Amino acid sequence: MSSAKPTPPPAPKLSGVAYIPRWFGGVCCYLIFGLGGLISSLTIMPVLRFWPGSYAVKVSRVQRFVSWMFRGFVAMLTFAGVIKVNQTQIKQLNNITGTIVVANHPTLVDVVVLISLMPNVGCVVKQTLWRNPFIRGVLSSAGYIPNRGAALLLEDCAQVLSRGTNLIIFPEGTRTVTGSIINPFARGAANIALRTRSNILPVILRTDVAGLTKQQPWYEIPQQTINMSVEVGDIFAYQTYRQLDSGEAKLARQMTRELEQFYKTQLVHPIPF
Amino acid sequence: MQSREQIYDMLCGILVDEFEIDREDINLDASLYQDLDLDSIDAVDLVIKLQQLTGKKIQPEEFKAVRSVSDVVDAIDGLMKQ
Repeated sequence: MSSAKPTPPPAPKLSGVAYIPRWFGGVCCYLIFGLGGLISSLTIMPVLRFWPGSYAVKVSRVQRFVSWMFRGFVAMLTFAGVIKVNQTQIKQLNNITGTIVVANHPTLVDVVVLISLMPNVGCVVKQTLWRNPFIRGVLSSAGYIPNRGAALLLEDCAQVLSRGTNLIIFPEGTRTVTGSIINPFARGAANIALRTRSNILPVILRTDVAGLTKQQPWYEIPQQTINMSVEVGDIFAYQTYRQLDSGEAKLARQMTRELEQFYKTQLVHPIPF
Repeated sequence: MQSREQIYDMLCGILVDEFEIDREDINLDASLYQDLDLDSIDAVDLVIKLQQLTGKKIQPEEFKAVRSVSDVVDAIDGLMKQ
């Protein structure tokens, strides 16, 4: 792996009056994100949905649109000074198809950053969000996958991956607990890879300060700009594991252990408290 | 007809061989998901394995309520008696 760009120095910590514009900027980002979701599901989503084309064409159109919107949203977060994203190998993220993209999960906006870098990607979204009337329209138009239990989930993922769409999975299941390098990985990503015969591309999200973590309330806008570098590792090929003579459940355990090990060696430092 | 002990031994064999679980961690009270760290995909695999070994068809609904090792033994015992 090549991390060509040197990491920028940590940003200054704003306090007092200097922090006020940062806080307003950050809170505005939340408002615009929510409003953007609502307005686009009432306007652009229906247009994209009824514009002629096969189901696959429609879905990929919506995915490209979401990616484009999220690029704008990341630019807004950068403008507000919440986060600054450094990417060196985004080409690879642009060119892959039918691949499972796994990443560690340091902040609230990881999925937004990843989708902004990928025009052709879906994700698994928990059932509670499918009941949310504001974003349900976007989720289904973009062909995202509801988590409907193991057997159905595997079928859905196989279908999405076979269309060439990539799939983002955070094996940590939730944001990294501060003080840890990563949370223990769930085996879903490895299981999906092995059973749908897809490769895993590991993406490393390296942050220099703790911000937008699971332990902080959403309105606690970071005082220090989070420098996040997006780095792409080498593919974990499903064939490497399938060659071995053991059951899929065991292979998934092995693949998951090796993924965890990879992230621990790459990240080295825990998310600070 | 298999006794409950035989069913338990068979289940232990599957858990050790297919799911890398330590034999010492398995007892009747152990929870499949918390103590033995199975996930929902493992549960599907386990059902398939049990169907192969018992020759009985297991309905997913019958396995929904299963939480512990003894629940599995009960469910299989019930099936074998049918």
